[in-house]
Amino acid sequence: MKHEIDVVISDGGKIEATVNGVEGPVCKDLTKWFQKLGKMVDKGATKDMYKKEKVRIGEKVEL
Amino acid sequence: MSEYTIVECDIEEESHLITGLKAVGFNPEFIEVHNAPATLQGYHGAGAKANVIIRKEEARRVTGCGYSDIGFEKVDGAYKAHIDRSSQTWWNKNRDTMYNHATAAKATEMAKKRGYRVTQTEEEGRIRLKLRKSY
Repeated sequence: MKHEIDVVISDGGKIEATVNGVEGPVCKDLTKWFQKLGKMVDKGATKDMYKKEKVRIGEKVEL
Repeated sequence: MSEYTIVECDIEEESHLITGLKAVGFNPEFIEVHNAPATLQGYHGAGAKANVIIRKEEARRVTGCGYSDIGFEKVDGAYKAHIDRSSQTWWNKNRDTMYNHATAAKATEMAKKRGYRVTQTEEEGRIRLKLRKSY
């Protein structure tokens, strides 16, 4: 899945990672591997987390 | 954006530690690596042992003030710093930079293993990594 993760490292090795370009709960899986980098101190959802994943409807209806 | 994660990292790999040490000015040619911890030389460091050592001549060149070796001992899987009192002021100023670069090396290595393209920039003492996946 096409996406981008923005990582900021500061304060002597603190990592803050944010997923861009993905809406919905699927992005939780994209940051799971960050837990292997060290001790998780915080985790949360931004407003887009609660958006529903986009569903494309291609059916054309003629009346 | 929809998910954020904050993680605190320890330095566990020698290569990541050396990346951090290079970032604060140490010449990698003068960084000694010992599988079995070796003794640190110097007044306050006497008796202490470390796996990664910067001898006092190189330490003094970089810190401008040190009189003993600087060492990093691997304890419970992570490197712990042995810094003499004479280098403490320098260490307090440069510690975060060293750890930030070591952590960036660790994160970059793991991201590349997962198929990400990684670009690194620095701004106001922070390191920013952009991890991109286009498939």
